[in-house]
Amino acid sequence: MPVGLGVGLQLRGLCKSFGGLAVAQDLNLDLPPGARTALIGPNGAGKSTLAQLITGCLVPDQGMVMLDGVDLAAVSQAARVKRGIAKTFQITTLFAGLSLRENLRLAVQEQRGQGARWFGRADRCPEVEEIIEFQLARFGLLGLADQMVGRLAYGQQRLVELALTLCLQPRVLVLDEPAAGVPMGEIPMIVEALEGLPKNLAVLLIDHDMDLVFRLAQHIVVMVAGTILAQGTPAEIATNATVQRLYLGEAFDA
Amino acid sequence: MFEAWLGRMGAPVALLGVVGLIAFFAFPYDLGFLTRILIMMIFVLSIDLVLGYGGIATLGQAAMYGTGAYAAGLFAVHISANPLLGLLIGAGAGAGVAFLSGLIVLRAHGLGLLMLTIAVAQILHEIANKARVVTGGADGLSGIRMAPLFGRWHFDFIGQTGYLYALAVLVLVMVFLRALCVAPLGLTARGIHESPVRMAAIGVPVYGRRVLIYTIAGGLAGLAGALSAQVTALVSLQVFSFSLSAEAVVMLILGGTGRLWGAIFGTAIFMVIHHLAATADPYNWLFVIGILLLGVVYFIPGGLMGVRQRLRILFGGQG
Repeated sequence: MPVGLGVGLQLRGLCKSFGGLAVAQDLNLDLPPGARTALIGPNGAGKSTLAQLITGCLVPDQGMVMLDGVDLAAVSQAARVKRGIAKTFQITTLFAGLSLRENLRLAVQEQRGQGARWFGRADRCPEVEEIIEFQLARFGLLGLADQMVGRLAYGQQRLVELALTLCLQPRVLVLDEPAAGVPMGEIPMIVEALEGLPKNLAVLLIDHDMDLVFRLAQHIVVMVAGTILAQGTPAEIATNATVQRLYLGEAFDA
Repeated sequence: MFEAWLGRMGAPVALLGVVGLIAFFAFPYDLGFLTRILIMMIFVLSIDLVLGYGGIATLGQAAMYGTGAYAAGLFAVHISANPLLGLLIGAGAGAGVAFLSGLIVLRAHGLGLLMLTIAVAQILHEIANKARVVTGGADGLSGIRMAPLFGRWHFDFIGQTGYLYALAVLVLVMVFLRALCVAPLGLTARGIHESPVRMAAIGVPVYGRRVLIYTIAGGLAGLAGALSAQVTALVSLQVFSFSLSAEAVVMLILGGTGRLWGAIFGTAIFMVIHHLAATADPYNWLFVIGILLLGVVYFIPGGLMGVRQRLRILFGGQG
């Protein structure tokens, strides 16, 4: 896939309300190939809603989600995955009863349009296995490949989460709190994995962990009450008085 | 390459055929009963595909079994007495009903889904009951006369042809299912069972795949129904009964869900115990089945097929 071409993901004037509560108001955001953008904001700011609008899990009331200039309004969640929009889950929802390799195989075979085949062995397709091996190696999981995922340590499961999502060959990756719940000792492992993500992948990181955000992001977007309060480089955000008062101070004090 | 395939895939299934043949010679006067076991195994396998692999809760698989039985019966009475054609018709009818009803019931989940599967079977039961002119209603559909199998083997009174015919179909179904389970669709079914939400997130059209699995299993249930119609030369309203669906689920749980051999063993053990207990005490045989089921669910949650795994863990070996 010609990653690096095109303008990537663009959000234009996105609005979404639940009843009277506006959780997204006229949101505009660009996520070009190679972007490392972090989305921060207090609970209830609309971060998760925005992620769901991108993946197609929610339909906007107004506005557009575009990939390389193409409006995705009529594209279902499943079809968006095939076009290259993937998201990791905040709470691990892996296939606990399947081996690590089988977890990844599910993603790869679906990405290649083979998921409904009746015949031929699922584990005997060389092209599929090659992608699985590559992703396992990237995250240092080769030694655990035949373990049942439910038996892995939590930090390792987070790596499987990343590997599974990368098996979908995404061009835009939404990371929903990739290190949430991971014991302190295993966090460096996650950070290292995130720093090693493909360079031309557009990444949107949603997180509360300011260490992680300032370490990975080149661009930070601050959301409050469904609107974008401020955006800029980490240095700009760190010195922005409004942001400090409204969000960072609060978070750092807490 | 082929030998390796035979070793891995073929040998256990060949063993099933051999055991079936031994039973054929060992119990020449019980072939009618043994044939019922074989047909039930195919039916329980179809439920295993839906429930054990796909994680689709069902208590209405009899809808497809009954449709296959009536379709094959009516086909034999009115169109052709060819048994193999009748099987295809039965399987097709079962798959058709599964597809159409699946489009509706698989929109629901959990308890709602369970109720809807029961409802579909009840509706078909009532249709078959009311359409006396076509189905014979409560008297059952009679007058089924099958032509000889391959023009050579007559369906005899003792049931030898019927038994071997059912055994051959069961072996073929087993070969088909073993291939299906290791195919991409088999893995997809297990993935949907584990986490439908995650499957949707990796781009799987979960609803469509559920309908596909339900349809394939419906075809197998229809096949079992067709076999029963042909071998017993009778179709009664019982083919749509709730107790048929429920008993088959009990057999599956007894043997172990999500394992093909669980369906085979569970059916064999249930049917044999049922047979012996009902002979010994026609009024209280359900008691024995109840105790057995309690014991299995409490002590070996994986069903009888889980015993091997338990022993393996207990003795720490890989054998």
